[in-house]
Amino acid sequence: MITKNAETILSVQGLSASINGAQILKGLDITVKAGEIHAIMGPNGSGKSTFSKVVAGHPSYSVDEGTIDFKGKNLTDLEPDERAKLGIFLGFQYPVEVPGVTNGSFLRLAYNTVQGARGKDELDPLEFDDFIQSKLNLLGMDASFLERSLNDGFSGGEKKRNEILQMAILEPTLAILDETDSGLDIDALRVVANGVNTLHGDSDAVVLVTHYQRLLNYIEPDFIHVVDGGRVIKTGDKSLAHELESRGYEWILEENSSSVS
Amino acid sequence: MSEQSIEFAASLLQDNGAGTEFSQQEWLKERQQEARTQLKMYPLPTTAEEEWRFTDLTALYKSTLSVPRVDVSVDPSVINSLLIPEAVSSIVLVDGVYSPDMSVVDEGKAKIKVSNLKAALQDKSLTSILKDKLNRIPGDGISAFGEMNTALFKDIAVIHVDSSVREFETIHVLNVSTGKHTFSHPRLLLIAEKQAKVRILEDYVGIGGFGYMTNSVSEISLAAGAQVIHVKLQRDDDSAYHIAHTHVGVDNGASYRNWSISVGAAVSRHNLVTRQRQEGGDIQIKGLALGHEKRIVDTHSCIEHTEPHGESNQVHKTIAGGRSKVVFNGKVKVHKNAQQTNSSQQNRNLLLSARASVDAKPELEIFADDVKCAHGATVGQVSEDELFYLKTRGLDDVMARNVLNYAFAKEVIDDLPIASLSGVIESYIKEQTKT
Repeated sequence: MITKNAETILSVQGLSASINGAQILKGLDITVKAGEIHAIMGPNGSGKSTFSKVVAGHPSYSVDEGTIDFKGKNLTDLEPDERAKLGIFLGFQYPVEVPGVTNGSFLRLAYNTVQGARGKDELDPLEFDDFIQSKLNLLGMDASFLERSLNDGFSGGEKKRNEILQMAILEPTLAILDETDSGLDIDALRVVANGVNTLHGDSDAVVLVTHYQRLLNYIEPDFIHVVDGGRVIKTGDKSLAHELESRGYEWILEENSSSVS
Repeated sequence: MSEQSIEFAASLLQDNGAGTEFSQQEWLKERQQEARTQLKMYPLPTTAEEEWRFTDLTALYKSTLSVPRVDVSVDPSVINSLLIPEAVSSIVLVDGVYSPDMSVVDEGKAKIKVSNLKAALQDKSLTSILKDKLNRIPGDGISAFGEMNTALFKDIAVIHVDSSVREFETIHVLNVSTGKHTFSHPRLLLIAEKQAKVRILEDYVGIGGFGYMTNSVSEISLAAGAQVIHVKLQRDDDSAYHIAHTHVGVDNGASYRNWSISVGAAVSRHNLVTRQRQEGGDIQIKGLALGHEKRIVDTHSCIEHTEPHGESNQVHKTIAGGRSKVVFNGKVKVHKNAQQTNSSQQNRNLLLSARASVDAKPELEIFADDVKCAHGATVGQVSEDELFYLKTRGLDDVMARNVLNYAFAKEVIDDLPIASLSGVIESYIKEQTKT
């Protein structure tokens, strides 16, 4: 929801970033305000996933130019965990499987670590069980999820639900969801989208990184940014998504290249 | 080098003297004598031998070890704290000798017969089993230390599981070392008759002892259809030498499941030799060895399939931290006759420090032409992707690494069949995998 005078959550200006010497982002700009939902779309290899990793602080990427400000604070020198404690959440396209770590105890550890950093109360295992039950219900997850190893042997849908479950307990101010819709059947997509819609409010923002328009039928964005060649080449409202759905990306890419030349 | 090993062996053989109380058993005397003869022909190993080239025992051979005192008093509360609630019988060997005071053997409730050597020799049928099986469970990888145990053991924990035992009962064989610079030669013989079931914890721990050497041999024989679950927990004192042989023979359709956990000792070596000696046996092995500080932890495993339709599956994980040295030699041998063998071996090693080392050596010897044998060995560090994932959830670098190191090791014991042990092992893992 777009609100006048809303606080700026994320301000990315002229961001250039590279991995192993290959430049992926080339002057990307985006501004996200509280209460808004943004979608970043673009063809494969356009740099959308890189953008999400760079904002979360992935160590393999180096920021060569530009700034990433989160609520006015420069993020570039912060570790991923410091960013998480400030309120940034990255939902992974491919959540990592960690056999041997129990999902439930991991969630509690993450929750308590983040709570502690934010000066809030930590929860003991019993309190945490109560706390997480409502979040499990929201995502239609059984409590047995907590007994399993983190993402280990989870189906695609279960992994994505688990990502949103983590988002639910970490209560981020900025949630970047990278290809959250990939690998989901229509029922799982509904559940996940419903989870995101329920968690989203006036004081936080969501950025959806997606290749397809499908997810946007369930989570309605305020802005759509088309990224190509490592920068935003077009920004529009949700109608842009429908246009992309029917016409593909080609016409924007062409329009953009002709406007450049 | 080899002179040192010969002198060391000679001093041990001499100290122990001849004429134990069992020497009136002529066959036993002969068998111990046999081992002495073997030892003369094949001295204790040095790094010049291929099988021992990663594990240097020079410091051991230079040390002076003595026979443990027999009058040592053991605090019962210490023993009690080590016992597990699942066990129906707990056999406690203090410095390799059965302690009737510390052992808990419930004759009424327990279906499984447990004895020490003295009691076993008073029982005709057990004596004949001993004659038949003691030092007679064949397999590759019997080293001179095994012979030394045979020459010098003072007692044997004898577990005989009758065919009528069709429910799993847990037996705890607790080996405690009390001595300072002493040696002991704990011995275990487990016989599972046809269709019998048993769960056993073979446990090594130092209580007040240091700089001691434990040189154990465990022989396990599974008759057709028997099921043995065997957990070996090595939590010896950080100053100790732990040398162990496990020899297992698996008959037709029997199932042997092993968890070998090494979290103690300064130097440890486990020769785990399992042989599927009749058609269709199943061998499942999970190993965890933690290299901590300056420890050397060496596992030499040999799985042999001698007959058709055998199954084996091995997962061995190690963590090498500090300046430790971790060794895994995993041999799988499929004899010509062992067609349709299905075997897999996986060895994963996690290096935590630049000064630690891992020597991993899978060894496949396959002489049959219709078999499925998979194997893989990896040495690596914590994955950057996993680290990043945990960090995006708020865990800092140290926390994330600790979680991942712990998880890597813990996977091995996730299905540990003795529940009360999980917590014990988990605390060792937590302590020894910290960044």
